[in-house]
Amino acid sequence: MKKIINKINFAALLLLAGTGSVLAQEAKKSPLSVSVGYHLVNNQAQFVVATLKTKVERRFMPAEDVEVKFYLDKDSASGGVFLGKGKSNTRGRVSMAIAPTAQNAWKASADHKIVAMTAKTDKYNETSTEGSVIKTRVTLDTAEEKGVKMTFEEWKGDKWSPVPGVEFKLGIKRLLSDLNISETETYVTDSLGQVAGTFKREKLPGDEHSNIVLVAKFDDNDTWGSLRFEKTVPWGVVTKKEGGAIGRELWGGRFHSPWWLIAFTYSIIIGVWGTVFYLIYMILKIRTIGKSISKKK
Amino acid sequence: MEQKLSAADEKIISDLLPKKFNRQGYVWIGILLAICAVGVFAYYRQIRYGLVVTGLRDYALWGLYISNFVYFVAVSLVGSLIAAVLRLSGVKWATPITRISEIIAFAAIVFAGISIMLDMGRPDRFYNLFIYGRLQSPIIWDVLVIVTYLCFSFILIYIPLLPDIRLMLNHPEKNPKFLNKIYSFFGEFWHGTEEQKAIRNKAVGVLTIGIVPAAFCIISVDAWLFATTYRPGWDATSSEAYFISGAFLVGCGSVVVAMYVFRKYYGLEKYLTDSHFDKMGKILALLAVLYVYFNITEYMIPFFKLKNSEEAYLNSLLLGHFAPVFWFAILIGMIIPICILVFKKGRTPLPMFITGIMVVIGAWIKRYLIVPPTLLHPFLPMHNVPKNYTTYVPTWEEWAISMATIAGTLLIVTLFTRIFPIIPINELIEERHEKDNQ
Amino acid sequence: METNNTSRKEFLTSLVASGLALAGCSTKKNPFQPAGAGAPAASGEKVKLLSVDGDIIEVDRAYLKPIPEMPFVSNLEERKGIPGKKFVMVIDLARCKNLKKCEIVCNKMHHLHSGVSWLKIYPMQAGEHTAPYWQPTTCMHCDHPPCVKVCPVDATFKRQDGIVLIDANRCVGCRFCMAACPYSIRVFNWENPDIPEELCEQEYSCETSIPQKKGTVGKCDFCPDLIRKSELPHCVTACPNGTFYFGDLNEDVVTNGAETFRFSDLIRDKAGYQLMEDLGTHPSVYFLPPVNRNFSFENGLENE
Repeated sequence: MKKIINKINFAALLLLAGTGSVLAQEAKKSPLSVSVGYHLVNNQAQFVVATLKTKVERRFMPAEDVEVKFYLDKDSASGGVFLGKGKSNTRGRVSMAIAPTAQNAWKASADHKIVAMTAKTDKYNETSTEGSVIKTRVTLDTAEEKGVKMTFEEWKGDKWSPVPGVEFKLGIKRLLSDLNISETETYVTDSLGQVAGTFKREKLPGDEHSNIVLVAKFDDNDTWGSLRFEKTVPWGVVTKKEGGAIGRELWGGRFHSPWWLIAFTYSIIIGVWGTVFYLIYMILKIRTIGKSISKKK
Repeated sequence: MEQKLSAADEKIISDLLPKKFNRQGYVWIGILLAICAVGVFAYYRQIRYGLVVTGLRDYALWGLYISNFVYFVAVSLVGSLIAAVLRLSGVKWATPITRISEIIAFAAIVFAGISIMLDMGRPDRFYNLFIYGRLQSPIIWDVLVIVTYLCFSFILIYIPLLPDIRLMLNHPEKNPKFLNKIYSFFGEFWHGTEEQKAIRNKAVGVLTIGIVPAAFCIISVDAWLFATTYRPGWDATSSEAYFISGAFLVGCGSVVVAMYVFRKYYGLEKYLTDSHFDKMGKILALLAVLYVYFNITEYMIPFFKLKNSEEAYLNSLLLGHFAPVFWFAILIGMIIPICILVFKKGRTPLPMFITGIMVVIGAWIKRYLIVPPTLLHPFLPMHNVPKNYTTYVPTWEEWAISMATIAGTLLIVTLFTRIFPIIPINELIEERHEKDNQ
Repeated sequence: METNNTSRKEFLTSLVASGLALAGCSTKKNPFQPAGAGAPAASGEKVKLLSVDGDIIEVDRAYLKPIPEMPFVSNLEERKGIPGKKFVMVIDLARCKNLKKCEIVCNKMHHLHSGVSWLKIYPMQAGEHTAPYWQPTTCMHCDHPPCVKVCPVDATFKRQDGIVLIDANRCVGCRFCMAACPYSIRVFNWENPDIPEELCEQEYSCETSIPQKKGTVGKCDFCPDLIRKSELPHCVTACPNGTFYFGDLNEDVVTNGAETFRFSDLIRDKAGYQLMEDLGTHPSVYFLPPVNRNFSFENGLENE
């Protein structure tokens, strides 16, 4: 484990530079605004995300249930690659994966353009939105105990050069959000493209190996779009988990009645129904006696 | 019968054998059937459109049906009171009224079960109670005790009935054919031999002891349906005793009413004598006093403390919206009956009949007042809900269905009197013989 | 990927797509390998998959990676819950101005019958001279739930992640749970819910609580279908004032989408409490007292 921590990791991240936006309007149809972005989460998954909005009574509302088609480098000589299509959800978002089938076109060039198109529908006019992608990388150094050093660089011509003045957040990954590593909300990269932060969350619950996941990220930056880089460090603590399977409790399932209740109820049931069956037995006995008398007669 | 029957015995038998209904009887049955038919139609509407046809809403989530359920369970307790408690304490005079109380108890418990089903939002899933039944739930306890008590009540009627069925079979020419079939199925084998009698007496002994805990179970579970919640007015620890005393009172009241009606209709003055009414009157008065006592503990002590959560509830019940109904129930259900019954003249048949009716009506209102007033005073305020959510007014469908259940109970009792003797003939004769021997 | 209300087939295909996406650049042993280093070496073993376009495509097995989202959650899994989690909600009473966005979104997303709300905002006032405040009230998802105790058929149940749900396919409509709930949060479908026909035909899921069914009980479900997608419940994201915080107690973190706090810090610093904790219900919802309010109580009266 320690080896991994001390090892300096590199990440080259491809970011969307400048999100394109198209606002189409016609008398009867609602205006549809589409923005398209590229997300690369921790080198694991590459997504193109389109966010659709429409104007309802002068307010922007998510445009739901609109089909969006995604293309990679549509105007290039090769004609580009069709990535796929999807329908926007209730939040007006469609995300599309860059499938392995598109990998060849993807690797062919450093810069890419992504196009999101919507077709003409009853409600909206057709739109076409373009977004471009620049190569960047993040370096996260956690060699120092509970200290985080991060470098942010972009690919300029032929070499990596630091990007100053970018606002970053350093946090710890949790299920539904990221918790800042200290009271400091954001960090801005210096002339070397670096930020440094200290992990101040004492006794933060980690996994069973006391691991937690550090996150360096920014969301919806005007120039750089969204970025997220994660790294596992053993800075958490192992805690006793709450919840878990419900035992023999009154609020347990039907196979988990408390023993005392089972004992109590069944002893009553056995006692009372024992009496009932005893009575039925006696009736049957009277019946048998009676039948034998009838036969004799 | 092996023993010789005297002329007096024959007289008893011919007096008490079930008789064909006269015109009055048919009109009565017609009315009951008509009420049931309207109820069935109302229930069809409830099934079709959902419980929305009732006045029930998210706050008043239980109403007439559950009140009725509680009422029927209470009435059903009388079977064990008269048959078991009096019999165990060696009271002999109660013999002629045992069967009346037993059949009332049986009919009531049948409709208690039906009332629960009427209240269900998904009666089509009733079988879930058996395939997914969960021991922790008081509803399952309820299902268990109702089924158990139903069996007990049936046996309690059946075993003492055996010799009487034989009597009916002795005169098959007097009965319609299909009734003879019923009689021979149920009682053909009874010959009244010493051996059979010994077993029967033993069974009755077991039964009278066994039914007491069963009866206490059913009324306690009934009380626990409410007491296991946190709601103001239900959150009590002694509610079982309160429920039991109330149940004995209403059961006794209904027996008195039935006694009077049967006495009038079948001309049973010789068997249900003034002395019976007098003694029942004393019991009724005692039970009414007991119930007053439990009402005091139930309402006065919480009112003395007036906890925050119970303040609105108690105020509306004792002084506010429900107060007229509440005090009316207290008056006609307890106070006036006690006032009538302390006088010897008050314990004669007609005043007793009127008292009985008052007790029965008062008790029904009391059961009703257990349910909606509590539910209409939740812990969190009733806020931002449609206006009809904040009150409870039963709809015609609910009334029709509820009336149908009551009519159904009466129908069971009425038809029973046509098929079987409503006064246990054999026991009466045996007691006479015992007396003669002494 | 995140489309709602699409047919299950579409849902599955989109998941396949996300599986493919993950396949693009992953090696399990070293997740910090720089991007652009390319896909893992092909194993040579091909697997047939359904593409987004509906075509059958062949992909090398090495590109495939297990995905965190389950394509279909069975009733058994719905009853068990998400392992290792214990969900809690924190409601900051200082931030609520009775805007009702939470309630509106909740009603819409769960396709509730008109007039029915699972989430209610109560005007509360403890005593005659104490200050009134607005109290948004969801299901408390009690750890000792009185409603679950009394259910005769296991139709409402407590999961290991702390969430209390309802199986409307099993509910018999006895309404005992409603009577048992001291918070009066449960509602009943007195009639056929007025929801689109295609929703009615959909198979009921305990996690989405859709579609609601006549004659059964409904209530706030903490949106476990969203949690499985690592999204916040609808009410949390709908509130513009960030009144609701949601999170996993085992992670000790709650978030309202914009801000994230340590749960223990928040409860300690702002003196969090539970509603009617004296009843012994052990609620999973915590309230922060209405001190240093962002809005006066009167602000909220406009929305009454």
